[in-house]
Amino acid sequence: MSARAEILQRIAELLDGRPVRWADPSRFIGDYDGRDRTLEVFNADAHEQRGLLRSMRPIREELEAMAGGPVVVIFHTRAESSRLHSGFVTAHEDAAPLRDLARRIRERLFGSTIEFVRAGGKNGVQVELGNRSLTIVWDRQTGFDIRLDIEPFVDRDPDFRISDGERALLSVSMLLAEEAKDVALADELEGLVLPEPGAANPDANIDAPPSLGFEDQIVGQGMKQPPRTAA
Amino acid sequence: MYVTAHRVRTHLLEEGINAYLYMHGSSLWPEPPEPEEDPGSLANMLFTIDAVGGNHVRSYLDIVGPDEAPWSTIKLFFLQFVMAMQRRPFPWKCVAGPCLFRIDMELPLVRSWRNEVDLLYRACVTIHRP
Repeated sequence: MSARAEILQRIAELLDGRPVRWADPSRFIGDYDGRDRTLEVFNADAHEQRGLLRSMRPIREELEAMAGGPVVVIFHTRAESSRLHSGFVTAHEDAAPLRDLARRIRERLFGSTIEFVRAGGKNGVQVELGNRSLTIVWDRQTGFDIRLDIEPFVDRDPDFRISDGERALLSVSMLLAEEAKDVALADELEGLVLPEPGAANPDANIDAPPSLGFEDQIVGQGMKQPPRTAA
Repeated sequence: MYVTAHRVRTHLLEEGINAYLYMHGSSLWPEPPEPEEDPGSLANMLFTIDAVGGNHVRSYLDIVGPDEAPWSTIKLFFLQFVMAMQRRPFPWKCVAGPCLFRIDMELPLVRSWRNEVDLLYRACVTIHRP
């Protein structure tokens, strides 16, 4: 993630998740000092603006050093944000669960790098830790699609599709946590092959069924009952 | 010990891997038992999908072995199992050393079977870790 994008994310967190962005100088008429380092903050009504400026103080110096000079802040009230910038503000609000998950991954997986991406027209993040990475795509209808970034030539479904942020965090931790390095089988399995594929149909000799015919069942602590049964 | 990981798909098309750890106590076996006959007592669960019960199982990995077997030993036998079975169609089932291993997966998952085995195995290790 670029330094400008990263600091935007931190500012948004300091401002209670409000949408923020670097202003596009080409959209402004007239010239002023700081045209290329103007920050727009949305959903900020007049009585909140002084407090929001105070909230930015902890990173003000860092922000100015990164931007190359004093930063100009433009606040948009809620009414104006909705009237004039509804596309940007709605997209930002839609991605709130994804940003929240990204923040929690950063807290949980120390040393991970997180980059916001667009994938298939949807908001996503790419998370890297050590030599493993995965992509999470967020969609309001389907939730979090989590896919390990391996075998890019294989068109496959997401490894996980989970609606709940807590469970998504658990899944990401399972896939990327520091201790997961010890259990990775990928290297050992690298040279292995499945039955020789048929000439016409690559799957012809793979005798896997379309359905295994099992469903899971509820089991409780101490029970002596397997968690899977014939459907 | 019976440790198992399932890839499950719910009616709402959520999909993830749930894992379960059962313990057998200090019993001595001539051969590891089939989980359907003697799974042991459920000791721990790991749910990435919360809505359990009636979900479609798309793949699974079962490992049965002595409670006290260190994971390094289980991994060794597991790799032997995968190497021995790799050219056979699923389902795979084999006793290797003191452990019984079983893997099965649906056809759409077979294309990236290494990834699937890796994910199921990872869930088993995670649930097995104290």
